[in-house]
Amino acid sequence: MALLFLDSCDHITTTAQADLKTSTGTLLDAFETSGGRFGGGAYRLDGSADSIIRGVSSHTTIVAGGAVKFVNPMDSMTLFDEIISFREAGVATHVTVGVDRGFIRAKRGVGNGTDLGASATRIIYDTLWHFIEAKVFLSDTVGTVEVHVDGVQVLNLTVQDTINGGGGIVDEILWGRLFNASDTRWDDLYIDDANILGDSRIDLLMPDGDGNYTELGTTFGSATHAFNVDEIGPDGDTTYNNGTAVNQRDTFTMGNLAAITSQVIHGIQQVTYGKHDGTATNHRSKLRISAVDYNGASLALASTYGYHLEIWDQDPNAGPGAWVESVINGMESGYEEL
Amino acid sequence: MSVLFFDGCGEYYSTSQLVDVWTVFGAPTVTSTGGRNNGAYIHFPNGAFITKVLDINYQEVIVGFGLRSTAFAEGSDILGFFNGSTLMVSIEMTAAGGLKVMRGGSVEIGATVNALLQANAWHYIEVRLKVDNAPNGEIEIWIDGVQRLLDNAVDSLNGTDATFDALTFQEFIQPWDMDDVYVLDPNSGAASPHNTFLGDIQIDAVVPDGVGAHEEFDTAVGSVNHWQNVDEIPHTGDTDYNESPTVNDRDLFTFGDLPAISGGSTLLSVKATTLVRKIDAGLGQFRLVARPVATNRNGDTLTLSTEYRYHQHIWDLNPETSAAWTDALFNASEFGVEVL
Repeated sequence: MALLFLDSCDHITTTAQADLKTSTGTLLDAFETSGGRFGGGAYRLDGSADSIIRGVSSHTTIVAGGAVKFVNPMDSMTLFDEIISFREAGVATHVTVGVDRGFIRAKRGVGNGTDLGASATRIIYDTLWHFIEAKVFLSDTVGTVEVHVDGVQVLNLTVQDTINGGGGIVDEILWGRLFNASDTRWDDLYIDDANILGDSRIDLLMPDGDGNYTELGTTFGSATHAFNVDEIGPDGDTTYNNGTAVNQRDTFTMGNLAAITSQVIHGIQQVTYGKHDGTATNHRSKLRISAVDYNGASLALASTYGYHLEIWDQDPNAGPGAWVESVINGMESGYEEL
Repeated sequence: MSVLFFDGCGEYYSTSQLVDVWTVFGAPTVTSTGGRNNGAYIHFPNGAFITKVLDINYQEVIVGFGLRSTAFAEGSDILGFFNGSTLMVSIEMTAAGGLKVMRGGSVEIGATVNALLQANAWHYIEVRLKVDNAPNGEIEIWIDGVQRLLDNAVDSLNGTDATFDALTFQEFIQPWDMDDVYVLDPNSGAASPHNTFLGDIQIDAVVPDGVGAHEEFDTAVGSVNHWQNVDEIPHTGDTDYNESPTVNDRDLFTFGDLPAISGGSTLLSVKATTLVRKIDAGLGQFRLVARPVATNRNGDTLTLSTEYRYHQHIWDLNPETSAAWTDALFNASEFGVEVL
């Protein structure tokens, strides 16, 4: 049981940056730096082919969620539009969850696919943020589709044929738009391989000071390493830290989470943005909790900037165990050249 | 529940907040005075329309609304019954002051006599539509409490799906004014108090005017008097409000009395309306509560968004007596909300 992807939509400022994180090569979208669900950024889909696409490893059970808002009046005359699609990249769309005049409806295939079922009542309204989550199990005979809206189950289909040809796996999620709601916003996106998480927010924490390690170079930018990597909307070669030797490390103190009241912390995702300078290089994300280092997987850098993600479902310093607010606020986050 | 929806425009009174109640296209306006009983009303200028998407699909409903127009134009749409993108049936003005019924926007399937509607005067229109092929389709129109059209064997079905999911009030050719809208399910069962035309009705809005039996929310932003944070028309959003994160916290309020109606009146239904949102991620639910007069009576569980939205609960009958409301009992009742 693991998170596969998180996107607060708060740490990027341009469509090009968004494309680096979510595109699998066909993304057409726009990005807004304000107007997100709790402020901050959001994806804006307003072209006929606009969508957000994220590739993941292959799964037969997978969950995708996010906050969506149809900014303009939702044309009640619009029939089924694809909101979250579970796809086998380049092969098939197995299941699509859509909005059908305010109902939530699931189909095998895309809009003209086989109807699997719909919510009992209309529960999607225009001009409001809704948190929509869909869990799909692929099977020719006992497939399931479960959809929650704003934390409440609205559709629970069992004993379904949820495989639309291909190899019967999902390795790509598409978040779409209402065709006639010409401005559809998405925020707080997630993908999980097992669980519907419930109405969730994704908070962005950025470096705010140097941590225990300051071993990379600071040729371009500030002598304070954190200040070269603290931009919302990375500034590329303007300021950065440059590694010159294997096992050089930088870790940073980070800002604090917005207040957590009764919510559960489902996981954290470290995001690094980097490239190599002509020689193939790997790096790994690093957490430092209570003076102990924890390393992520080895990730290859390309010759152009790209985002690299490392997800920690649990606090590695707690057994591992559940994350708590104070640990996140007190830990350091960084990276190590390999 | 037999009454599905009603709107006297009294709880919002403003053009900008029309979108909180209806799906709005074009530029309809809300004027705070000058309606049927000198309250608020909606005006449809050229190309404006508003849609009420029904919670489920219906084959038959009754719709009532006040209509005022400075003139009448042949074929000017005022009300459409839609199934998705399919216009099932529409009601149009005639140039001679009558109404006609069109299937699919092009085939006339019924009409009233002329000269029933006067320019610049409010009229109360009620339409019962059952969509089906002949001889099972039905259309019935009442104007100002008098039946003016009845055809119980009409072909009112455009297409193959004998249901509709949205009602659209619209302007086409001739601008007009609308007030006091209701939508009723005439097939909600023998136990339902309202299965037929309500007649020429009036919808009044009353707002909190005092402390009720429970005052358990916080008043961090606004007055220490809870009711004064929720008594504005139109609403003021985050300017002042009551809030609570605690399950089972309640705020109940007394309300102003209903206006007296000369000749007496029958109180047909009560809709409690609240504008509410949650402030963070996570499941947020609440319910509307009526207290008529000694016991809290709870509405359905309602789910919150992170943005303000009107939520409603309709009590066709007094939930304490399971009998019809009376003005006196309503005036003595409290209404409010409870966190779930």
